[in-house]
Amino acid sequence: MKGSRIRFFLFLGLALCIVAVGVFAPAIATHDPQEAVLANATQAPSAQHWFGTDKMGRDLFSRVIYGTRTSILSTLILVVSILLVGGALGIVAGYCGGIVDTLIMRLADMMVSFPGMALAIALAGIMGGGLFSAILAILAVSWTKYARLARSLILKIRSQDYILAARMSGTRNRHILWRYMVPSALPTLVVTAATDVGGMMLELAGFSFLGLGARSTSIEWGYMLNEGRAYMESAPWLMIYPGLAIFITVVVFNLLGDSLRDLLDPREESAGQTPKKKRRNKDMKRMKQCAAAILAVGLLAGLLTGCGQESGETEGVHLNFGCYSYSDSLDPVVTVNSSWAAMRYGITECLFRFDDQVVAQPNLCDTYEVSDDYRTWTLHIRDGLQFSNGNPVTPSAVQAAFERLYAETDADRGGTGNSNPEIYLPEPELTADDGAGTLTVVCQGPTSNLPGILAYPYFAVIDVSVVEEAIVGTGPYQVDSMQPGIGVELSRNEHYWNGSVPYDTVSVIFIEDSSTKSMALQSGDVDLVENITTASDLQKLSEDPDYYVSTAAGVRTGNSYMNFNGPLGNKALREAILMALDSETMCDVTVAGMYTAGFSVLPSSLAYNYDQLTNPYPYDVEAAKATLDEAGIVDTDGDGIRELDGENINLVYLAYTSRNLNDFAEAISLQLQEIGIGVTLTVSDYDTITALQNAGEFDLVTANTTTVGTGDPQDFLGCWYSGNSQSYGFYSNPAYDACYEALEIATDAGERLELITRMQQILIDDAATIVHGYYNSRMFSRVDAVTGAEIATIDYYWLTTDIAPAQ
Amino acid sequence: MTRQKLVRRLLHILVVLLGISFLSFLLIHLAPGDPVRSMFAVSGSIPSEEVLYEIREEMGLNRPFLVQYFSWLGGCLRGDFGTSYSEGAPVAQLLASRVLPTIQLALLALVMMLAMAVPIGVLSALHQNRPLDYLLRGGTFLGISMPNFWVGLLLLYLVAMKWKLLPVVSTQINFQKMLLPAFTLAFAMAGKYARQVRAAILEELRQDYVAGARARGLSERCILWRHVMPNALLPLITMLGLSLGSLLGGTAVVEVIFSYPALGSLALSAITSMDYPLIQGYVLWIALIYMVVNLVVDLSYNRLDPRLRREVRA
Repeated sequence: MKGSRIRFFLFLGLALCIVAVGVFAPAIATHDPQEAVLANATQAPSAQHWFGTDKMGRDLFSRVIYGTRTSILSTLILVVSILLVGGALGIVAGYCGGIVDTLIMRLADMMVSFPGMALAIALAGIMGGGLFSAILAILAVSWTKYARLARSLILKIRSQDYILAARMSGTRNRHILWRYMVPSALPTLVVTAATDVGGMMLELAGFSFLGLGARSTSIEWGYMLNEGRAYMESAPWLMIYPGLAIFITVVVFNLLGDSLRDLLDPREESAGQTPKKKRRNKDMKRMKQCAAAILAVGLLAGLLTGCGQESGETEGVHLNFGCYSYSDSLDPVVTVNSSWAAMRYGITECLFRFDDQVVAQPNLCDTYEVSDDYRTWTLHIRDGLQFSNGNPVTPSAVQAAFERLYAETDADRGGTGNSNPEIYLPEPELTADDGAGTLTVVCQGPTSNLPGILAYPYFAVIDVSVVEEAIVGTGPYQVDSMQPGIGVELSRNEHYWNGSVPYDTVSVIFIEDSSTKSMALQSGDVDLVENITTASDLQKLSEDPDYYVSTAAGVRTGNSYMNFNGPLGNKALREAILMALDSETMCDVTVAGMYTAGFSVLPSSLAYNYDQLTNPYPYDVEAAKATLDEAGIVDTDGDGIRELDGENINLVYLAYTSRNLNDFAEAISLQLQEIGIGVTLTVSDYDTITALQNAGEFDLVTANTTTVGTGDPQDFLGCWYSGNSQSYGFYSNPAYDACYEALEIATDAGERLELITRMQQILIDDAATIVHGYYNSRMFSRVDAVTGAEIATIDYYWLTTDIAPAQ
Repeated sequence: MTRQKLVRRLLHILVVLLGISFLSFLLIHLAPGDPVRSMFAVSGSIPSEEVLYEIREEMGLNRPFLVQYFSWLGGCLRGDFGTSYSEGAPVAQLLASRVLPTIQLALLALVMMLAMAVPIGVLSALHQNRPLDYLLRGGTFLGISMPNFWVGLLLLYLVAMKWKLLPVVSTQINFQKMLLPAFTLAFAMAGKYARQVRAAILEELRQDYVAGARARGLSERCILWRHVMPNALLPLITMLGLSLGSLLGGTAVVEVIFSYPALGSLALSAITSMDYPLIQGYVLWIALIYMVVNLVVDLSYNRLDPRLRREVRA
């Protein structure tokens, strides 16, 4: 009794210490937890930074200390509300029985079977997301556990004799409930709740892992831990210290729960020692041996069964390729993703194919002619082509594939596919002449970029005659079998037209997690993987001579649109913002090389004269401040934030968590605050952000866009055309509009290039957008197994015939 | 449970299914996401509003909310759960392909968990407040104090990559592929269950009937296995039912790490791409599984606990 009281107060003391750390965080922390020096990112622990620094160059020790507030508070709120809601409802259900019981328990059934993730996303959308919606979502699902537990406890107590006796002696219901039932049920509930403090903390961390929990704007352990996950090997302290903080807190609260249990239960001590000790000990000993044996067998059995068998090796030259699966379908009519998947695995091909400058080159079509009005294209299909099943690829077969594409994606004709070829090419008139080997395409309007459009994966040439059974194309590999969620088995296309196919068989293995991809490559389970995005894996593999990493500055631009219908309508402010941003450091350090820095909206790797463009606003913090001072945008009231038209500048920045956009937004917010520009950052999922973006409720909003999906940047450049720019910040410049209108009708390649170059420079001079950089694509291979594993600039092609076994 | 009660219970299941389907339909439609926009998210280029409108029109997404719900419900009653937006395949078929791996993983995880939790719980109760008890309880803290994904990554790193005992990834679902994800799940649950087992056994050891049995001179082994264990483990059935239910709903975190194709990762991708029909199908499946498991738990309660049986008869 005394011991348990001492223990309880000891652990209570420890728990209070943790809470005190949160309360007195400002006094304990050595740095401002939000103060960032981008160049000092991921530094190892030192005298100056006790726990090292995070990827934004912030002091991790101070962040862990401050994190105590958010983490403990959110977890405690969660647990207490679950206990109150669940416990009360359960007790009521168990005590009242009948209709009340039925109603509550059916509600519990309903909520418990509601997927917490779906709820979290829906709530995030409705309430703005973050930790709070995660808490509500977990509460909505978890109270049911307490309700069930409380109900079963009450049922158990209800059938005990003393309750019956109390009832017979005429005790009032309320008295029985409060005096007997609640006190008996409470200890178990409280112990469960105390145990759950840790579990719930981890649950919140799990939500963050899936991108549904805390956002980067709050200082929270779970989020720090997940952020550190990408640096598991290169900067392990990013995972160790927040992890340790969680671990210690969980252990303390668990011990507190245990001792609370002992304290609340006065009968505890009697269980241990009674007379007849000797015989009991002997029995006990045997039982312990039994239990220990079972434990050992259970653990061993688990380990042993795993060893031994190796999966059967396939004959011939075989490749294991690990990749993320974007679709379980390979049919181009189903979705964008399915059309991409079949082309990436080397199953399907198009009439044209993009080279590394993303210019469409002849592929299945070898020559073509075009009428002067660019409406009628006559495409000659290469002679003697065969599908991988041996059927000939005639112009009418190509026509059939295209007509199916349009029919299957048109709901009016009963089509169910979600692909949208219409957005690139309104359905053309097709005429096949098998004798001449030509397909005539009559477009609805002048179409100067038809080869680029027909190189888009939607327009894959597949054998329509067997499409019900399989997707058969003309690529180097054909599908043997497909297992949803697991992988695709491919084998050589014996009828391939363009040179020899290096592998007899290929296993495409779906891997979702980036770290797992890296581990599968290192363990030898796969020889080739695409796009590992975790920073430390990337770094490790790049430095290790056993692996070859092919990098291409891709065709995706990351940028933040500026809203001209707000403070950012002020040009001096925009210029200062661009000068305040250290683009190189953000690309190389903050996002660990996932982007290549650049200042134009079109990627430097493409043939759009990046070299001829000039950047009048290079990184220069002092110049940025000077520009603001000159423009009269100064801080007059001394609060550290500059004013524009008498009001503090506070930019609303929206960012979605994809392709490091949230990292850029966070780093930019921190840098802008340095020069006295206030930023309110909202990080959420893609859908929430685009909804806010459409409502025009932003000053800055992130985007990551494929600039030349069909080999031409016209659509992307249209985002700044005043006729389309409502969703992108209302940019308007007559000179730009004139260029865009000229581009729409220009057909000459040289003329187009000149217009596109001029438009890029106009955007740069106007400081019209913040360009973050160009998203890199990568292919990783084992040097001893694979050679020629290069990544294409455009991400439609993964498995090519250049990828061959190493000698 | 009488037949009448059983029928009423089955009716309840129907009502709950109806309620949950409406609730989730409502919530998903309240969320600001847009399935059509999501379909273009991968390419990053979003077509104009008119084109988006047209596609929505084709998919029937511009109809009033209730019309959409009842047309979906009508389809369900005819056995047609719709076609997934993102995968293009029938929802029923997509779910079916993931159900078997999910059940296998859930059962293996539960078995592994019990194999760890029950011996630990019993040992630690019998050694109450002695070194072994502290050691084992310390061990259970590890289980419940480490994030799932952390344990998973660590296991993958050590067992598969460093020691090469198991493949990191493989092309078929077999026992080997299930072992690590199942163990990761079991490890986290075992800590919780071991504590419950310990607490329950201590609770029972304190009951008068134990003193009575001792007074009658029954052997400790007999007391433990014949009297204490059944009483102590009975409440665990409720917990097991809940755990089984949530495991059968899929475990996205573990599935993502181990590339294991069960329901959790399917649901996650359905939710992020706003794939309404797939989300609806998933919610229905989870609801059904939960209630069936709970029904079985309640039925087994009545069967296993003589006190409740008596009450029913009375």
